[in-house]
Amino acid sequence: MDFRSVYFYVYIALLLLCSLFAALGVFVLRGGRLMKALSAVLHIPMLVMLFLAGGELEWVLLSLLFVGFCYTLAAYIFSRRAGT
Amino acid sequence: MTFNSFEFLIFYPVVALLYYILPRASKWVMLLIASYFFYMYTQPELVLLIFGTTLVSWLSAGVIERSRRPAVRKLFLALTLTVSLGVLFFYKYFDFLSESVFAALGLFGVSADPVSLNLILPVGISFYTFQTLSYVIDVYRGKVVCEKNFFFYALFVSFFPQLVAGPIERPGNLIPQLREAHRPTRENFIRGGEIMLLGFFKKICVADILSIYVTAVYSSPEGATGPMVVLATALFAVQIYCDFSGYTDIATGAARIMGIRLMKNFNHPYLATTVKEFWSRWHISLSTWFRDYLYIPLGGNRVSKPRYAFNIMVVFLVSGLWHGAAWTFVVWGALHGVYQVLGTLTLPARNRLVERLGKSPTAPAVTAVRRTLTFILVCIAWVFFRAGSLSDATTLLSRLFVGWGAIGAALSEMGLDPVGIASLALTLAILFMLDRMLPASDGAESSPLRHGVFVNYIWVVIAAWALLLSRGMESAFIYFRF
Repeated sequence: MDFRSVYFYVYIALLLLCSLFAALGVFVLRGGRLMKALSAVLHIPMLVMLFLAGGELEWVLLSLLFVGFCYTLAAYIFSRRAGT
Repeated sequence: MTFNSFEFLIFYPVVALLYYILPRASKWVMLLIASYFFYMYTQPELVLLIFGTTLVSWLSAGVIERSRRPAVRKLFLALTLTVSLGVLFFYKYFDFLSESVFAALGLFGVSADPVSLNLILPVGISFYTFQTLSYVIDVYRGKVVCEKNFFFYALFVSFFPQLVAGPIERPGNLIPQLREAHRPTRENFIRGGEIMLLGFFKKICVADILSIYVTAVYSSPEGATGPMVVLATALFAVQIYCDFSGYTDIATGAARIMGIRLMKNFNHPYLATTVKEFWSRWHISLSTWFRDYLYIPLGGNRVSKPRYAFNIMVVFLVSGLWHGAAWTFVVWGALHGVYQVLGTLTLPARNRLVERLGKSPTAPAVTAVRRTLTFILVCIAWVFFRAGSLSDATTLLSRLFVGWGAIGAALSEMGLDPVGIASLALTLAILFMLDRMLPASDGAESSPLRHGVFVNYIWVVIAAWALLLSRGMESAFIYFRF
């Protein structure tokens, strides 16, 4: 993994966007589905950037887990608030 | 065939589809054929064994129900117990007993080579044997009516989602459900799919990944340090939970999609505040089996204290042996027996101590301490469960107080690099939240995961699977060995 390449920084930016949209998609009533769909679509350029930066399978898993964590955390907070 | 194989990814959708499109009368026939195919895919030559066990138990149950003479009923019950447990003993315990007897004789100066059969252990033999026994005993007790159709009973024994690693179903729960002609519903499909995906996540993303770090320590106990033993054992506690409850989730989800609800097998076991409670939350179908068919017939807890201790020890020693034919499992079972006896006998004194400290026994701080202590006790027992031999287990325990000055070196020796540690931390956090959100009970009608979170996990599971395959790792479910 080349941490100094431009691809790496773009990858980080896309990763954060993916996570943000996924998490916001849980809370936002209007446009929530759109945000989640956007998060799903952004996975593709994110993974492309990761591969271009020299990321291996471990990094793919870590990235997906990070998005999953943000997504699940949002759902967890939402469900605790809703009392389910 | 295992759940985490490509074959199952083809097999299951075909079976589920056929189940819904076939006419009512032929649904169960298709399930029976599919279940035997599922079993034969791995061990075709041993299909006669499961068929024979099924036939003997069905015939005996029929005679037991029809006969009015107590002696005949008892004779056929004894016959079933002898045949079923005899087959189990022959395949699973013969070599172990032979080696143990000859080792004991060696202590008295008698030296001879033990007789070893080296038989292949039939997959799921402990599970389906116990399931057939519960049927015959329940018929004997008059709790269930004998199933008239042999092939329908064969489906109860061999129903593929729970055939090789449980849950050990009771006839009263499963047989009526197999009789029903379930229609496809959105609720069953979504709930079943969620539970299956959670199972795959637990197995592939957690258990299989953790096994890399656990094996690094347990395969060479001599080189282990204290931090390595503690971390590897704690990770093994999570690994075995995710491995086994992951299997159960896949089984439960697969059955649920077809409209069949299997019994609950796990209920957040590591949240238990006592070892006794742990056993009411861990492998519930086996714990309740032992309670109903061994512990209560022995007298349960309505006996003197020494007799109660004896009953508990018998149950846990048998439970240890059920898990595997090795002394490590016997010690594991014995440890749990001792924990439970001492825990029950000292509970009033411990509660008094807590009250003297000015706390309520149910206060959050007390509960947290009790949960931690219970987890530590369970982990000490897991050392014996996971270790290759008793000497390995004692070596690992003796290394507990060594090398606490080099925790960083211990982590890197286990193969935990920063990416691995970050993935592990995220995985465990996700697991904690999913386990809390997706109710352990399969009966909940609404899921808090309606946000589509699980779609993301399809990709996570695929990525973890690819990672494991790229490392050439093949994994079987731990409980398949039992």
